[in-house]
Amino acid sequence: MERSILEYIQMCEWDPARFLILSDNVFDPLIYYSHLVPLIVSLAIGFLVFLKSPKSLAARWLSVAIFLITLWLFFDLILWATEKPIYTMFFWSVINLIEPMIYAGMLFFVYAFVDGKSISFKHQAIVFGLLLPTTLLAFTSWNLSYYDLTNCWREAVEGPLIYYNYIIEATLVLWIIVFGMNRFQERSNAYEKRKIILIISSSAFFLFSLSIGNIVGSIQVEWDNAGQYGLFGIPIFTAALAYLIVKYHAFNIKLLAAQMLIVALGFLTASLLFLEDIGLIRLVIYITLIFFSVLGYLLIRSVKREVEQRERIERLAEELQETNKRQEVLFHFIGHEVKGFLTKDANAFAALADGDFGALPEPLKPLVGQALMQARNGERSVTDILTASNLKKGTVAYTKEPLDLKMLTAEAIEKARAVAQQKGLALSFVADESSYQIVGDRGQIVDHVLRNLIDNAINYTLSGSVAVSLKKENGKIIFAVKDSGVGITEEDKKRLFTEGGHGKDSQKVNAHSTGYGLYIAKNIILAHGGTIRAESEGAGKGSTFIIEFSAV
Amino acid sequence: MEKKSEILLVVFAIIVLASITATFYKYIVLENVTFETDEEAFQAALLEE
Repeated sequence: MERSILEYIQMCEWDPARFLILSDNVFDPLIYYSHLVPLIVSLAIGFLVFLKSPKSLAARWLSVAIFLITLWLFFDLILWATEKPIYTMFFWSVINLIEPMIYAGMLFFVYAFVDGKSISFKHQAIVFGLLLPTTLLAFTSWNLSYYDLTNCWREAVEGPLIYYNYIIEATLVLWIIVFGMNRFQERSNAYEKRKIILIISSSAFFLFSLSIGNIVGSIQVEWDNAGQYGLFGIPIFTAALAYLIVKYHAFNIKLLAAQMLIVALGFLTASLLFLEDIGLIRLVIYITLIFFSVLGYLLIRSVKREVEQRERIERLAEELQETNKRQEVLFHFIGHEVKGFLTKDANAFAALADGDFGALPEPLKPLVGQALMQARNGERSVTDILTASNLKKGTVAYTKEPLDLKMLTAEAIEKARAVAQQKGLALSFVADESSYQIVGDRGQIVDHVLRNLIDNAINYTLSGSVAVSLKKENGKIIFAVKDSGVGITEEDKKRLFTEGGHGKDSQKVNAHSTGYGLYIAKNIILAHGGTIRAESEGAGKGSTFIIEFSAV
Repeated sequence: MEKKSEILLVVFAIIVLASITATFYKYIVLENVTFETDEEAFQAALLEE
């Protein structure tokens, strides 16, 4: 009597799977354990590696390989559970398709990790060329010949393509090993050599863990428990790879091991609840112990190192703070002394220039004028540095009073006019008839803000003009100094208002620049509740400094 | 990554997706599965169980 396929299937009495993976067809809970533990742990590691370093090429390829492995594990679990031949044929075909791709992903990862760059186009094309037959023939009988109903084992019979897949996988593993050996010989640095050995051996063992089921299956013919033990290597070697990545600072992951341990601990402990056989529980505990011993040891060692490093940094920071304090005291003492000498010099030269000691001989007049200017420049530089230091310490006291900003600006411009004329620059000031009243410290605003910005504009403009303007906008007073000078590059903008922050070529244009002027101006403006910013289209295109004050 | 490498990667990914789609269509949509069995061996296997 000829039976129909449906009758054969009914006679096999397979349990219908719930949620694709839950059924009595999975004869041993170890199958769940050997698949779900690596799946969850690998997925957690893959996501962490990718999320922490999404731009790293090595991280991307490792994530791809891990993602494919989790798919492989999930589909394999479906094969163990499903009673539907159509699911068996589909998921089995896809497993055969993605398995060599995992090996290729690991090869790309190893290249990216060791060389720090992508595999060459030629090699990439070779790898994809090798994978092409597997990909194109996945749905044909070359991949899966038929569904075998003989023994009710719910098995597909693989076609000749499977041998091609094994050859590709062996080739890719060999490629990884040969690549590692080549790079090992090329590098002379012992640290680099160790890094290569560790990453290559971990990657090879990682792939071996995946293949062991196939190897055991091929030898034993029957797919039983023995092949499942290899899968436990996946989370261990995934963890080892992640650890190596952290150790060699390829990705910025500090808490990876801790996060992974927590995920795995929860899962492993919970899984014990589903095991009834005491022998299996023992086995699970052994595996769990090995897993946690390895990861725990690595984690403890890394935490210990980190704690030691932190303690050392804290000690050094304390010493540095003490040294800074002592240096600051010395620096203030020297600063004040130098300022005193320069002030005395400037007064003496001023008295000579004014003729307090009688008329100067003509040849001496320019020399005394020069010396007076130099002494005043020096005095101003030292004052700037001392003011910056006081601002940083927070020891600057502001005496605030109502100020007419328009009048103060006009005065500052008049003081700067002589220098501008000497350089042949057009210095202008525009303001309408509005009131420009603010509340502030007159000395600080005039000396360190208005004069500073106007002097800077003159100093950094070799030809052209400096235009100062005042206007009111939305209840704010806008003070702007626009020049046709050297301009500011994007790079210089970042350090413009920082302590001692020179532009890259600023001292070529203004040899007296201390780098503290704008830092002081910014701090004073902030203390007055205002804002300051600089605009420039780039080098040689002039610049505009804009201050916004709150109007009274 | 070079531009041509990226293009190659995208092309390969498309081929893989197309292959998976074809496999899905054959087995899940068309249910085109070839079955093999041997009546005697089948009976023997049932008796063994």
